Amino acid sequence: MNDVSPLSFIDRYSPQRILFRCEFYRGEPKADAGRYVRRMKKIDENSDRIVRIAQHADKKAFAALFGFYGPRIKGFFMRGGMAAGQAEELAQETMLTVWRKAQLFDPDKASASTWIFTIARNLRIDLIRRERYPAQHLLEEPDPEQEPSPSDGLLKAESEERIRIAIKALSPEQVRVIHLHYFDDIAHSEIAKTLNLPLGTVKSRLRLAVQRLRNLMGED
Amino acid sequence: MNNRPSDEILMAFAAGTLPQGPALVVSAHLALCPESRARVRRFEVIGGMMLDDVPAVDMSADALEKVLGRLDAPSSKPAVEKGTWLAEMPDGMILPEPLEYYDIGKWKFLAPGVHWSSIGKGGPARTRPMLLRSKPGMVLPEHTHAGTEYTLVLKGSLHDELGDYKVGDLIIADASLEHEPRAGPDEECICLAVVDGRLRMKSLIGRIVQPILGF
Repeated sequence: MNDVSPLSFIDRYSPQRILFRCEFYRGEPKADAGRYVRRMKKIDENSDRIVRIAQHADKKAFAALFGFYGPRIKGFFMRGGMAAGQAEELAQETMLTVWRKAQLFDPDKASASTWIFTIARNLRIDLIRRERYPAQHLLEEPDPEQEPSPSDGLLKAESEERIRIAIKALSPEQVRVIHLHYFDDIAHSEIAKTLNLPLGTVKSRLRLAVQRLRNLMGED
Repeated sequence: MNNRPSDEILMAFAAGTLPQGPALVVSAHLALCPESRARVRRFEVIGGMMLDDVPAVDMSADALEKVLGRLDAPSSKPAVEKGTWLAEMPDGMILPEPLEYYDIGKWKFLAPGVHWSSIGKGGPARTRPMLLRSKPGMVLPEHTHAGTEYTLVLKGSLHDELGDYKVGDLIIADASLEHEPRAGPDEECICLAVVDGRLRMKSLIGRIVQPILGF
């Protein structure tokens, strides 16, 4: 039970949850567990900030959130090929939207990063296509008919952590193919050009990466 | 539900790289399918991870100040307006929520027993989504695909050589597939369809309607 200790001070997690998490860290150096705890705290900090914005219009919390996400959102847009000036402007717009939509954020449903990613994605597409992306409301509306699935018993942060760990287990090429898919608003054929590979290879690599991801997350 | 989009397509949807028309059809499918919705969420988590890990680029020195100055101002963005629906729907028919924001045209004749209605105004006509309404047992006009065709069943059922499709099922047929979907024998069928790429209709009726539809 040695590897439980770096985590056990987080009293809000039940022993089962800690054990569940340690499945991932069994045999890994403690430094990794430490990094993990720091990241989880960061994730929770940012979620709390959005909740504070929603409940108290807390500008201090907003400033802190801005300091963390502003440069990342700008970097994300620039990675997708956007010019610095436009990326700056759209990153500001994204943070403004975070402020305005904070009431719609549900910390049980998504982490701050996931939620802010969807806002940034939607604004980027709205700008590029001059048309609203029809994915706007996905994370913002309750799921009345959603049936409970095995993963519902886990905290969202834990299921998100599962996905993070699965991604880490992919090969660098697989991660690269997936990254290109997210960062660049380009078709597969252009990804093929970027990687200097035949289109079929890119498609099968992406398929394999997605399949592997599914296996790593314990699905058929 | 058996006919769900592949993870690649759901990932492209989550990443925001799926073209607008297919994104609308996938989005309408998500409104009907919790399983696909959960998968899209998962791919959105990957998007969030990438946001965490992307090389950060400094914001301009006055960025925070500028945004703080705008926090209390009312949003200048117009609220998203609901679309105008001209096509009459059969009693009790509820279209999935994402369609609420699109204009839907009147039903027009496409082939005997089959009507269609265009959705939205944006983009070229051939990639614009449409509703197809078919009487029981009627065959949708035969076509070969030069692009990928997305068909979501909203009412009734569809049948082709490969299977049966119920409400909420999404059929994605790429260029290699030549299929002839037929509405179920007992009930009329309404579908949401979009072509991502150029569609060539093969039959005579197809050749006649093709110029009208602008494919």
